[in-house]
Formats: sequence, C-alpha cells, structure tokens
Amino acid sequence: MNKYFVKYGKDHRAQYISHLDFLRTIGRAMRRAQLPLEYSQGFNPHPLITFAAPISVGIKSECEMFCVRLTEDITAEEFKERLTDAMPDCLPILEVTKDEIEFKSINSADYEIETEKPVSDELINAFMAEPQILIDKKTKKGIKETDIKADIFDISVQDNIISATLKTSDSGSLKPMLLISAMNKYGIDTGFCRYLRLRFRDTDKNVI
Amino acid sequence: MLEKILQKVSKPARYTGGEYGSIQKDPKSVAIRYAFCFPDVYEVGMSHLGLRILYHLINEREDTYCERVYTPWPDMYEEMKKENIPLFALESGDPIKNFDILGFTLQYEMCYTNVLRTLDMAGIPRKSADRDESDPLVCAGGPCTYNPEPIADFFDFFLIGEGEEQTNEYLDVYKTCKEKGLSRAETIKEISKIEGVYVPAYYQAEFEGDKQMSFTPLYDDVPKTVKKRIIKDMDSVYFPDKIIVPFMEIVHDRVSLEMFRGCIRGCRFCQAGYIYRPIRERSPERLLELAKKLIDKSGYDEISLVSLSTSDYRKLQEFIDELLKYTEKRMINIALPSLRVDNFSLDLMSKIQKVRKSSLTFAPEAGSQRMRDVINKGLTEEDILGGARLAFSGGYKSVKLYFMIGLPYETDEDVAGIPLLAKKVVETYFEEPREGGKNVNVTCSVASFVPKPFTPFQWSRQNSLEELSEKQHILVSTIKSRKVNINYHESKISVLEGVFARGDRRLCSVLERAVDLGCVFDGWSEFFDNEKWLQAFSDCGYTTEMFTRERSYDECLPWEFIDIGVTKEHLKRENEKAKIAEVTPNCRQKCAGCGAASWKVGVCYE
Ligand code: SF4
Repeated sequence: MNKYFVKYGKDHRAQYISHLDFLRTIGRAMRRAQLPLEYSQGFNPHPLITFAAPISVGIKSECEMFCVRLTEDITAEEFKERLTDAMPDCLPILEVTKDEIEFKSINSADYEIETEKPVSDELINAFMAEPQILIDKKTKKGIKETDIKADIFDISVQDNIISATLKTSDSGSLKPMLLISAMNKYGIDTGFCRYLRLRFRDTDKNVI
Repeated sequence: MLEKILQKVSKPARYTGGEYGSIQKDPKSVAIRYAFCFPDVYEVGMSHLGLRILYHLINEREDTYCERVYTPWPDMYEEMKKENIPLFALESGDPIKNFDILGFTLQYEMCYTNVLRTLDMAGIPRKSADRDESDPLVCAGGPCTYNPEPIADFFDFFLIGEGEEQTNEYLDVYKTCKEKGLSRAETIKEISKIEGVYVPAYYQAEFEGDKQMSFTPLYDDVPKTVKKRIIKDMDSVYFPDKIIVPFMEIVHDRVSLEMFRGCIRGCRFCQAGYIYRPIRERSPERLLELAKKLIDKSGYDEISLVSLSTSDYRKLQEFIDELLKYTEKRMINIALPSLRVDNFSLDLMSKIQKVRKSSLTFAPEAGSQRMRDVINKGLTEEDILGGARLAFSGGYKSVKLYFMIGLPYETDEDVAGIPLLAKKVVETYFEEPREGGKNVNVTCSVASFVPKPFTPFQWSRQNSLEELSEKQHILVSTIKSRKVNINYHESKISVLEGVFARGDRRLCSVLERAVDLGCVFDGWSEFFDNEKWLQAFSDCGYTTEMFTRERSYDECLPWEFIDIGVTKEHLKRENEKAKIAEVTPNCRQKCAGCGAASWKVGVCYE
C-alpha cells in the first residue's frame, strides 16, 4: 500500500494559511520533493489526499494530519525526509507513517488557549455550571443560537492558560474561538487570545 | 500587538512571511540590512519578476540581509496606526526605520502615494532633505525612474536602468562607507559616482509658467547627464534558480522566466520598447537550464515565458520543443503571453496548452490601418482578420482585442475603426459554414493612451476627459451588434498617470498634499478619489493641464538629463513619421539608427 499518514504542525507564521492555501502548498511541496501523487480516475482527476478535521484560520497546531497516496512505494522514513526538505519551516513535518489512522474516529481535540488576562478556576466552574451555554453559531443555514455546553468535554485553567477538550468530528465541531466568545458573553474577560491545537482524541478519549 | 491585529484584518497571510524560499538570516551576522519595498499590496508585489530577481541577488551576499516590505492594505494601516506599530519587514518583523537602506521599485505612477505611506508608516521623514543620520538611505529603481522628477524630493538617490550589476556596486560602496563611519551625505556622494546613479539634490530645476526652463547641476563635479545601466550579456547575468512560493494566491502565481530584454518593434506609444533597447536574448540553453531548476525548486505547475514580444525570440520553436520534453512528463503548463496571432503561434499554443482557453487575445492597439501606421504597430488588417480566421477554424468562439483611444493624430474615423474592425472579425466567422455562430463573441478592451517619456509621443498633448468621453461615445454608438462588446477604462486615472509620467519636481508638493488628504492605493478603483486629487492640485496652485499639454521640440523636458542611448533626434524623426502615418521597419528588417547601438550589444550587432 502506498498510503501515507502525515502529521504536521503550524507555527505562528502559518496559522493564517487557509485550508485552500494549504492544499496548494502541499501540492507544490510534493512536487518539489518529487513525491508522485496518485490522482483519482475519471473526468476531473484530483490528487488522492484527505484531511483530518481541517483547522480554522488563526490557530497554531501540533497535530494536523493528512493522508495521501503515491504512485511509488517508498519507506515512511524516506517520505518524511523528502517532504521535510520541501516544506517551509513554519509547517514542520512531525511524523509520517504507513499505519492506518482512522480519521473518522476523531471525536474531540485538545486546545491550549493563552489568554491575555488570567482567568480563575471559580469563573470557569461557574461558567460550566450554567444550565446551558448559548451563543450565536454560524451554520449552513445562517446564524443560529446554539447551546454549546455539551461540546465542551473538558475544561480547566492555570493562570492564563485554558486547556479545553472540544468536540471535533464529522457531525460538528466547536471552535475554540467560539468557546472564548461564549466565555466573554457570560462575563469572563479573557482579553486577546492565542490558540493552539495539541492532539486529537477518539470517543474513548484515547489520543489518536 | 501584531498578533492581536492580525486576527482582525483581511488576508493576514500578507503580513506573516515564512513562505518556502524566503530567506532567513541572523540580523546580527550581516553588515547591511536592506528593505526591498514594493509600494503595493502583497499579491501584486510578490508577482513582480524584478523584485524576485533582486531579492535573491542581494541575499546571495553574505554581508546583506534583504527583506520584503509591501504596502499594508488600508484595514491593516488603520489597525497599525491605532496600536502604534511601525512598518516592519516581512522576514524578521523588525521595524524598517532601523535598516540601512530602503530600496523601492517603481513600476507604475499610480503607486506614488503608497511610497509616501510606506515612509510615513515606517517613521521616516518623507523628504530626503529632512532625514538625518538615524534614517536609512532611501532609493528607487524601476521603469518609473526614467522620469524621477515628480518624486525627486523623496529619494536620496535613484538607480536608472537595469539593476543587476549596479545593485552590488552600490552595496559595496555603502559597506565601505559604513565601515569608515562616513556621514549620510558623504555616503550618498560616494554612491553617486557609480554610473546610473542620480541624486536629485545635486541638481536644480527652474520653472516659468507651465514650463521647466532649465535643469542644471549645482556642483562642478556632477555630470550633466545620467546614463542608464544596461546588462550586456543576458546569459551570464544573475537570474535566481529558486523563487519564493507564497501560500496565498498572488496575481502571477507561477514561475516567470524572462526570455529577453528589449524589443525590435518600435511601437511609438510604448515606453518599454525604447528604454530597454537594444533587444538582448538569453540563449535557449540558458533558458532551458533555468526553466528546469525553477520548476523543480518551486513546485509550480505552470511556467510563463515573459518578454515584450515572445514571437520575436529567434529560436522560439526550437526552445519550446526542448522545454516541452521536460514539462510534458511533469504535467507542467507553459504560458506564452505576448504572442502575435499567426499560424505559427496558434500551432504552438495547441501544442503547449493542455486545456485550451476559451478565448484568444490579441492587441491591434488601433482600429484603423492609418492609426496602426501612426503608432508603427506593424500589423495590417489582413494580419488581424487572418489571425481571427485561424482562431475560429481552430475552434475558438471568442476573441478579445486590446485597443487604445486618445492617441496622437487620432480622428473620429480612427476611433470608429475600432468597433468596425471588431465587426469584421465577427464576420470572418461566418465566411465559412460553421456551427455555433450564436456564441461568437468579440470583446474590445479599450484603454486611454498616456504619453510617456522617451517615446516619439513624449511631446504630444494628452486627451482631456471630455475628449476621451466623446471618443468613448463613438465607440459604443458606431455599430449595434450583440456579438461585439466594448469595454473602456476609467479615464480619470489615465489623466493622473499622464501627469506623473511627464511631470516635474513641482508635483512633489501635489503628491504630499494628496497623501495628506487621504489618497492611497490609487491604482485600485475602489480607493482612487479624483476629487481629492483635484483639490490637491488646486491647493498647490497647479492644474493637470499644465502637465498633460503638448510640448515643443525645443522645450526642456524634465527627464532629458537621462541618457537611454536612443537619441532625441530619433524620437523626433519617429514623431514626424507618425504625423504622416509612415512606418519604420523593425530592428531585424533594417536598423533605423536609433542610437542604442552605442551600447555595443544586442540586435544592433547581430
Ligand atoms: S540601433 Fe538600430 S538595430 Fe539597434 S536598437 Fe536602434 S534601430 Fe534597432
């Protein structure tokens, strides 16, 4: 099988690269690395590449993943070496493996949110004690007030770092920015925030 | 702070850098910090080949760190102002106020307000005379510097001509001066000794009424004329074999490879055709070597072969055949802009384009044969209609034609010739029984002519807005056909472009006033504000007509102190021939003795 799973990071310079821009970037990097992509058959061939839970713009990451098929069979090590050389520094290749990773099993993601103003435990507890947490959420049908409480799987705070496990799956995701908007709405002043995605988890909370 | 505002602005990737191929150096390890400034937004500036060449050329030097600076989009400007963030360079994020040199490239006149905005945002005094030892040197090169006078006050020096050799020369001089601890003024003096360097503060211009009366050096050791720089050997001159590959989509998102410099044609309206004389080609071997490296190292899937007139490359067929061997295997597309429309090019295009474009573009520039002779386009109606026939038989349904109005010696009949020609193009489709005639479409894109320095039309009066709008009326009222579309451009911008193209030092005050009134990004119709510009002119006591008027042969033209090789005598001769619609053969048919042979290179010695 010439199927490779690639884990990569996005540093602060790369956090504003949109998904479409990343697709173009990876296509060019694969060419530079002379890693021949396999294309789909049919009238409008496109490279066989799939992404795990695409990330929104404005978030750094240590756990992005995509899966790609090559027309050639090389080792995962060689793949990693070649692609690393062909990528810009701000998108480091962290790991390449041929072992199957089930993107579909992703159910949540851990985030680290650095707040400008420190947030106390009490405030977080009070926030989570609300019967429901309502916030305007953009959906396909327009803006809709939604209860996001059930999408916050875990949340804790230490000084100005909020650690949160948020729902991230095919059936819907909670973006960390929306969590912060909700906290602001419920009276917690965070100030400006930096966002970092750390890892994915499955339904049993095992790290993927 | 910066991180905070990036969350608020549109397209933040314009300001973050980090692209593949961009250069990272330790600022402490270099002697010279250089900010390469392109006075337009990232997507436009990144597309520019000259910047791409010089960025890598400068960074080849171990002693210099060259970084990029683009003009922040107005939303970013507002945020940066609010938070008091000074303009920074893309690679290091450091404020450019503390750099050694700011080098601007000036590609079009409508970016001048952005130059001042760049200086303002950097915290550097606008005027050369107001800068002190704590400020970087501010210089500029690029095609607009063939008339640097309208922006003379804002630059410490200009670099006239092709920059590949000169750049290293002045960086060497700068470094020596810095090591010796010379002052700003002394350093500029040393740099001024390099050929092609123009220091506006060393000259005085005098005016009377509308006219510039004289232009004289203030000191005995300052030359009366400044010679442009020219690259003699296109094969040995530096060309990067790597490029920056942006994340976001830019205007020209592909590899650009320059095939040759200059042009043999001598179209009388075209400044590039004169200032880059004589034509000098890169060898097919060198082009192929560069093309392969650039494709491999960039990962782009398209390469564009750029020049002023690609069909004039002598070994085009041979070169394309070789290039195809390389690109076909790799699924790389070749783009060939600026082709003439003939059998040969259509054949070529069907070979190189995997997906055929639905419309074919060509540029007759003028509608009537008389007018095409006036501008020396060297294209007959038969050439155009023949091209259209070939295109239609090749399966094209739509043709796009580029024209200009407001050309010198133009009559109403000449203008009406544009829609009439378009109609004839449509008719060629129906000469043969063909299907799908319903979808045949000819689009004319009509620009307003702007007289430029160093062309035979440099003396011509530019049409007023009223004249242009009358001509636009002729364009749309001459024929009624649903198969012919006519688009024309906003002519207010053209008038202003003309003012700055042929203006003089007095415009520096107008430009400053316009910036203070809020003018910026004038090349973008959503920001261009003609009312503000008119106010700036009247506040300074000038009119646009002072600069768009006709000039006489004996008038002192503001740009005449620059020597491009082509003589004034030749330009006069060409203007006289234009008046009687007489054509001049191209350089390969017969040398017209333009004066550029004095450079002792290129076509003049083929
Ligand atoms: S000197 Fe003659 S050949 Fe050379 S550029 Fe001028 S016209 Fe062309």
